[in-house]
Amino acid sequence: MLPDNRSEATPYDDILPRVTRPARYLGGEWNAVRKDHRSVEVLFALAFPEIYEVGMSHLGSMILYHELNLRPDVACERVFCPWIDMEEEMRRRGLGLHALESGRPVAEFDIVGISLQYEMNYSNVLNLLDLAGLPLRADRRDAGHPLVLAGGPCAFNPEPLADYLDAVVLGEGEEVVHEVVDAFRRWKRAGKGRDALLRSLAEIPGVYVPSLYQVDYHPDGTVAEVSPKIAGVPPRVVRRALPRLDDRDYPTRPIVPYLETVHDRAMVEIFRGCTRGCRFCQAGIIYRPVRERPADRVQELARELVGATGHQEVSLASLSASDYSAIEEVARRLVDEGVGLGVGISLPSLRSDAFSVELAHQVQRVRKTGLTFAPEAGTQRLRDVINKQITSDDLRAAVESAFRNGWRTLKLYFMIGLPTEDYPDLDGIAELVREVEAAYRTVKRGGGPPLKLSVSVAPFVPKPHTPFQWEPQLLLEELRKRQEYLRRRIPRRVRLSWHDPELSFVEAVFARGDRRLARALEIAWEGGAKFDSWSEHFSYRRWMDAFAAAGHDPRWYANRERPREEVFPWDHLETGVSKDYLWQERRRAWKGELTADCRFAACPGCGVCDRLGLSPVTGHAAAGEGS
Amino acid sequence: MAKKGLARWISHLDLVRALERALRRARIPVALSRGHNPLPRVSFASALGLGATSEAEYFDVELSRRMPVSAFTVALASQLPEGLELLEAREVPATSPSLGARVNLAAYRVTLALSDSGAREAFRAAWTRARTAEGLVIPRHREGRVRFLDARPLVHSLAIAESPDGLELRLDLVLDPRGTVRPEEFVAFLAQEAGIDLPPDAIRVHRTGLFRQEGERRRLPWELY
Repeated sequence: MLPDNRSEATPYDDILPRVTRPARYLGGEWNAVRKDHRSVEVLFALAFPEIYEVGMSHLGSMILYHELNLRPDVACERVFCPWIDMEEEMRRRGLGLHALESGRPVAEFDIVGISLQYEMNYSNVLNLLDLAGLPLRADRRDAGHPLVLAGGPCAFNPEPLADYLDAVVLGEGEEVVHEVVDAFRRWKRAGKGRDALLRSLAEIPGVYVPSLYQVDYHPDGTVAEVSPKIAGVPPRVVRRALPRLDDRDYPTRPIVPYLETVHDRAMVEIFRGCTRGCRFCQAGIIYRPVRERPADRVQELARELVGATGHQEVSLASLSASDYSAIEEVARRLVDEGVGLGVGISLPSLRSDAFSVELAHQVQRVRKTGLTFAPEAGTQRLRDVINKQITSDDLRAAVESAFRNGWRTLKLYFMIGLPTEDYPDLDGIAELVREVEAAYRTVKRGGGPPLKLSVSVAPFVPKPHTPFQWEPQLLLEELRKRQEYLRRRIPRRVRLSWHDPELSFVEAVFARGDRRLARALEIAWEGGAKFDSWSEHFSYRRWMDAFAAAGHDPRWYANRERPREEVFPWDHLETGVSKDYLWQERRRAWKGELTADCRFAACPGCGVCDRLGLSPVTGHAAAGEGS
Repeated sequence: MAKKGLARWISHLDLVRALERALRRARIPVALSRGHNPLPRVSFASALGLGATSEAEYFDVELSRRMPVSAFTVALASQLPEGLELLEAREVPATSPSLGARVNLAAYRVTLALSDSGAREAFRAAWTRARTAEGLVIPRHREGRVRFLDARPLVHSLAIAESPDGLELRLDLVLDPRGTVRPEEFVAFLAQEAGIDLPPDAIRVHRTGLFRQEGERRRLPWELY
C-alpha cells in the first residue's frame, strides 16, 4: 500500500535528526517516480550497494529506472546503503531497509536488482541483503522472498557472489530487464515454486542462474569444468548488447538529487564501448563494439535534460569523449547554446593529446576546472605493452597546450605493477613529472602562479575477460617497495596520492575469484566489513583473517600466473570477445606490439561483432568493416 | 516560500541549489554574476537550520529582464519539488540592498514533546532563571575547543505555552551579522539547565516569520522597500 502521507513522514522519522545528511533517506526528489502499488503487478527495487551520493551518479541505474517505470505494470524504486551512522540507528531500533519512493520495506518487493560496479562493494551487497531482512544465501530464500538479481561490470565474474544471487544479467540491461520482468509475471500468475522461476530465467539469453551450474575442481584447486546441472540450461551465457543506442528511450527526466552527488550534472551518453584496446581495461572489452549516438540526437537530449532537470552542467558521457566522431561540432553547438543560460558542458574521460586539450579549452570557456590525463605508465615501452596508444610527444603537446590555454591544475594517473614493469619504468614516471614541470616553466617563462600538479598512482589489478587475465598481480611486498621507490623520486611539491596496495590486493582476489570465496566474504562481513571501497573503512587485517578462517590463500587468487589452458571460473560467461583473441593480445603485449583501433584501421578480429551479431556504429570513415 | 514536511531535511545549501534548478526549469531569466564562474543571482534572507520547517523563507532573485510577477509565480510554483511551496512574490527595485542585510529578527514556533508535567515546570523555571540571572551563556564545542556565546542579547522574546503533549514556545531571535543563536541550540541549552532529557526528535522548530524590528516597529521584508 502506498502511504498517503509519504510527503510528511519516512519510516525513519525518529532517526533523521540524529544522522549526517538526512537528505539521503528522503526520496521525493524532482522527477522521482511514485506509483500506486495497487495499480502495478511487479515491485522492482533497484539497489545500489553504495551510499546515495555515489549511487545517484550512476547513469546505468537511471536508465533502468526509466525503462522499468515506463511500464504501467511495474513500480521501480531506489535503494542505497545507509551510511554507517544511519545503519547503527536502524539496527538499534530493528528497522529494516526501505525503498526511497514509497518507504515500503525492501523485503516486500518482488525483485531486488543489484548493481555490481566494483568488487570492493561485495561486503555492501551482503549488508544490503541483511538490512533488507533477507536470507543472504539464495538457497535459503523461497517464493515468499524477492528475487535477487544482479548486473553491471562485475556480473562478468559474479562467482564470489554466486551463492547469494538468484540470477545475474550479463551486459546491457535495457532489453533483458523487460524479459526478466515478463518471466517473473508469468511465474507469479502461475503460482509455481522458486525452482520454476529460476529455470524460466535461465532460458532468457544473457541471464545466468548460478545455482543451476555445477563447478568441478582439479586437485590443484583450479576449475575443471562449469556445467549446467539440468537440461535446457545453456552451457554458456552470452552477453546482451543493443545494436543501436537510439533503439531505446533515453531518461531525459532523471531524478534531480538535493544532495551534491559525485557527478552532479545531467548526462548524455554519447557512445557506448571503446575499442582503443588498452590491455588492462575490462570496460574496453565488455562494452564493445563502439555504438555512437547520432550528433543531432545528442544535442536534442542535452536540451531536453536541461529543461527537465535545471542542471547547470551537461556531461557528455562515454569511455573516451575525444573519440566521438563529431565531438568538436557537438561540443561547439552545445557550448554556444548554453552560454546565455549559464549552462556548461563537461567532457570527462579525455585522451591525453593536444586535440583533447583544445577541445577542453573550447568547452571550458566559462569555468576552468582542472585537467586530467592518464598516461598509465611512465615509459613508451610499457605504454606499448598495455597498448595505451599515447606517445611521449602526444603527452608533451597536450601538456604544453594545456599550459598555454591557461590551465595550471593538472592531474596525472598512473598504475604500478603492470605486466613487465621494472624499476626504469618507475623512473620514467618521475621523469615525466619533471618534464611536465619543465614544460610549465617554459610556457610561463619562469613566472606565473605555481603549477598545481597531482599524481595519482594505483596498483594494477588483473581483471577477468582482459588480455591480462592470466597475469599475476605483483606481491604486496613488492608493490609497497615500488610505491616507496616512486615516492622518493617524486618532488614534494607534487601532490601524490595512492590507491591502497592492500585494498588493490583484496580487489584482485575477488576480481578473479571463484565460488569458494563466498565463505571468506561472509566471514569478513560478519566481522564488520562494509564500505570497503572507502579506505578509512577498509581493514586489511579483517580480510586476511577472513581468508584464513575460510581456508583460502588470497595470493593463490591474486598473485598466481595462470597457464594458457586453465579454465577460468568465468569462462562460461561470454563478453563476445574470444578467449583466443585475449591470449593473442597478451602475447602481443609481451612483445610490445600495438593493436590498432578497429574504428581507424582493419578489424583485429576480437570476435565480438560476429558473436553478438552487431557492428560498430560510428561516424568515423574506417568504421563498419565489422570484425 | 514555505518549507514543509520532509523538505525540512534539506540543508540550506541544497535548498539554494534546488531553487536555482527550479528557476532554470521554469525558464525564468535569472541574472548571472560576472566573473569566471557565473552564478545565478539568488540570495536568501537567512539560512534555516536543518530539520526546521518554515512558512517564511524569503529570497531575492535578480532577473536579467523584467517579467510580470504573476508569470514568475506561476512558472516557479510549478517547478518546485515536493515540500517547497511558493507563497508569494513581489517585485522590488533591483538596486535594493540584500535581504540578508535588512532583516534582523526571526520568529519561531518550537514545540517540545514533554509528557511529564514536572519537566515542563523545570523548563519554564530554567527560562525564568536564565533571563534574570547573569547567565545565558551557551557553550559551543568546535574542533575540541569550547567557546562561550552570550545569547542574552540574541533572544528577543520567548513565550511559553502548554500544548497537548508538551510545550509550545514562541521564540523570537535576533539575526545579527556578528552571530546568532540557533533555536534548537537555545532550547537544548535550557533543557540542559532544567535537567531534562530532550532527545533531538522531541524538538520541532518552525519558522513563522522574518522581520525588521526597529524599536516597537516590526516590518515584513518587502515592506522595507
